[in-house]
Amino acid sequence: MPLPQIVIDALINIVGDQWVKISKAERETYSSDGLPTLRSLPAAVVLPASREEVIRVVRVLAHHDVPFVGRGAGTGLSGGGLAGPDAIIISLTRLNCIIRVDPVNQIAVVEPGVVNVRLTEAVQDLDLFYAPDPSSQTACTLGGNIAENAGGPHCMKYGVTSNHVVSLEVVLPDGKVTRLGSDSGQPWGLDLVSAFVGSEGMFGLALEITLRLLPAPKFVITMLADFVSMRDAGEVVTEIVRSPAVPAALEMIDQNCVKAVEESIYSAGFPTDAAAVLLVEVDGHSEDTVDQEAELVTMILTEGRARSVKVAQDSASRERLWHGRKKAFGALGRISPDLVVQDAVVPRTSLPDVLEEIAAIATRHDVKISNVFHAGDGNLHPNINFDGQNPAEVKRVTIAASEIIATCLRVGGTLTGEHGIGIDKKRFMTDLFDKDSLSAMMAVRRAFDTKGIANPGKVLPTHSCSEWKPHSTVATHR
Amino acid sequence: MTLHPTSPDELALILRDAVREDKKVSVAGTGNWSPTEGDLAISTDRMASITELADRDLTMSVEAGATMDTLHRRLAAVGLWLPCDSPGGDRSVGSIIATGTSGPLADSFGPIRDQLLGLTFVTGNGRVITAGGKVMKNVAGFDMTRLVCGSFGTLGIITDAHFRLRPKPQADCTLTARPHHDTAWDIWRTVTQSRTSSACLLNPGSGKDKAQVTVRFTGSVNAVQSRRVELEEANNLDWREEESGGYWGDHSRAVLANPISLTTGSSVSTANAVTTAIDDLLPRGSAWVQRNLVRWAGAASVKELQIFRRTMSESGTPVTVERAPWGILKEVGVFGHLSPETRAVTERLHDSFDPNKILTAGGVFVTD
Ligand SMILES: Cc1cc2nc3c(=O)[nH]c(=O)nc-3n(C[C@H](O)[C@H](O)[C@H](O)COP(=O)(O)OP(=O)(O)OC[C@H]3O[C@@H](n4cnc5c(N)ncnc54)[C@H](O)[C@@H]3O)c2cc1C
Repeated sequence: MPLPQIVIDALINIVGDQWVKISKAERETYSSDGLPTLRSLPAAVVLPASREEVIRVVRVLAHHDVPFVGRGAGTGLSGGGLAGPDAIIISLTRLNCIIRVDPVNQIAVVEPGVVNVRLTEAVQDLDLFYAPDPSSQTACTLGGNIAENAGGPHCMKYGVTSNHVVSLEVVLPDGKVTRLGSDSGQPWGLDLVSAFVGSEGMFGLALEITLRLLPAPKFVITMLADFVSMRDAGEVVTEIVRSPAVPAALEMIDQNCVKAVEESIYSAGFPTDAAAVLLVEVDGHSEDTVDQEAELVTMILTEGRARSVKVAQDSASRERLWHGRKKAFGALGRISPDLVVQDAVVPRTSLPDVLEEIAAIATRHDVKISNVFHAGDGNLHPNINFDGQNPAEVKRVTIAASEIIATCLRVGGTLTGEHGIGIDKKRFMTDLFDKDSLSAMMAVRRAFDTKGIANPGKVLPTHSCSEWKPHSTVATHR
Repeated sequence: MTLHPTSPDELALILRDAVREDKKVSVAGTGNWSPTEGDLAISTDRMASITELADRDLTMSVEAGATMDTLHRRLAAVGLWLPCDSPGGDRSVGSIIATGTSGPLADSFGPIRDQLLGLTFVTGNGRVITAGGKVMKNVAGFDMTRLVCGSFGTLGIITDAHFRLRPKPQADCTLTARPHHDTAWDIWRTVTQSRTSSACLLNPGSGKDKAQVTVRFTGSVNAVQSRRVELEEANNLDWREEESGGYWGDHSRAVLANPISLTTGSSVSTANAVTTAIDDLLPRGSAWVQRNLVRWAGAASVKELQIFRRTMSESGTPVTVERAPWGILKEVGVFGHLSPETRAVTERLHDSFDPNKILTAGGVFVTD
């Protein structure tokens, strides 16, 4: 359905001609996000310059009942940022201002389009940092992080995005603007901040985000342990987490992925003959304590049959190790035309079994799977390399991905730990939640979005929900 | 009449009947943490077991009727820990989650919602809802776990909770000092900003009372020792070591010895002003300052509470009356004034989860 001209005119009137994209070529740029298997051409793309412009844009769309999809950097991995042919993408990348940093209360107020890593860069001189560090942090936006409740390697110690959001100003899908929470981080009434974080763009758009900053640790030790057996590496993860040591990060990279990294420009010196390597970091404010934690971790690794444990001697070698880890997806992306990055969480103790099962699935369906993931949280990322032009291979990849998910759910795990449900995993939601629980989620969504126009069609398999209390304006499921 | 369901499904049947028969339901608790008027009381005392303790995965599933003290004892026996020191350890887990009460350890471990991995609850329209799960990270669907936490029973009755656990710290050290007022504030600010302690609690005292500042360190023996030395060297004070369990238990009892307790949002830079307002407007009680909140416990009239809340609201600060005799709570409400937009969202949530308003006989969303 083409967009009514009156809507286009109204949008142009708000943001100016050059910031409303309607040509096919321009819309093409926004037809996919980080998920390679899905594409969808939006009706238009609008790029407001300010908070006020976003609000006015949403009001116009609400008035005309036009669905919209917020868009950050488009690095999302579940298709959450895709818009259908009747929907408009509202890109928030021009709202990229760090509005205020308050070192006394250790908070920062930012616009949603600020790129994650920029915040930590901006507060470094104050000896502060912003903890959630998705591997995509040099590209993804804080607004996107809020929507997905993003995680990252250091979330093991410091917590995921929702642990760091103090309060939010949002524009609801009906165009009303409201502040959720308070500057102290204490809820004001129900905890609507927590509900909004992870709502995948379906509750409205975050306009202004207040985030918690932490004092940067003064001492950091990064260790690289390599294992001949993947099972050993998996088992040692539980031992470390059960010990008095509290690692800041505990990441696993398997042999397939190590090879991809070492053959790329991101080579980090990972041993390519190891079945798996673990990257473990400890940090803190006292040198002695950090040293002792590192000693304890080294001992556990060695007792857990690590072939060797190397300690990064300076910040350059530490950065090289992390670069290798964080660019692993990029390295994997080079070796085939397409790559799906999977995301699931299992209880830590089942990691060894699940990793073996994933290897068996790869063999069974003749697909190439590489694992690089947040082992300390049991958050797996099995990545599958493939060629999207080869239908037979695509089919095998789809089956393998489904089997991986089934395996994770069987051991008591969940569908996604940080990438979200989006479109990609919607069909699995009924494997995890019954109809009443899905209907409850739908009711929460309706409380924020009475019209059902914010990012419709994502997360909830609507045919499996029943509407509890229809709001009068809604005729169909969106 | 009090009913004692043994499962979420049984509870769901009871609530559906209540809807049909137009009866109001309250949850029978240990005191006045939640509104208590109703035609029917639900007790969760027959849903009070620890259903799973996955000690190697560091997770635990419990039924909501179990008391927090029971959990702590069970965990201590196997060397594990749930860093949750909400006032009222003899309360049920369900009550603590429903009221979202956090104690001083929230300074470093976050409030109780940060320890929760998932919940089962039964809505006012008698549906059994599972939220979240049992794993460390989970973004499958919207976060109803955190939404229900602190909703004071308005969205449903909690029947099961899944927690993340930690290894019991090797060392646990509580130090307390009674310096001059200004010094106490300085220490509280420095320690709070440095994030080196697990808890740092300031009782500013009133009038010519000396302030009291209490710092708790947990962790490895060496880590605790080095932080302790650092604190003692930085402040030439007479620090007294307390036995952690006993001290924090006493603190919790001191809060509960009063008929009313409330929390006010605060920050390093606003805490002082909040305590001054408390001194002026709520003179019959004591205040304790944490990183992000000031908890006050004492006695006050409806009018005093309303004035205090209005004053705080004007400076952008929420006041949650977490506990009060029903006669007072009914008037002031747990939550204060909400902005019209937030109130609209809240009302829609409430309408969906408890369309017939059987769960709370008022007392939560009263606005003044
Ligand atoms: C190489 C690579 C590595 C990655 N590593 C990680 C990782 O370690 N951890 C992790 O968690 N994720 C990771 N991701 C996934 C992705 O980067 C995150 O989900 C990120 O939070 C998305 O941010 P974005 O700005 O790209 O959002 P987009 O992809 O543009 O949008 C994602 C969702 O957010 C919504 N949205 C965007 N802005 C707003 C707003 N202001 N208000 C409301 N909704 C909004 C959109 O509608 C959409 O539903 C990785 C992705 C890639 C490509």
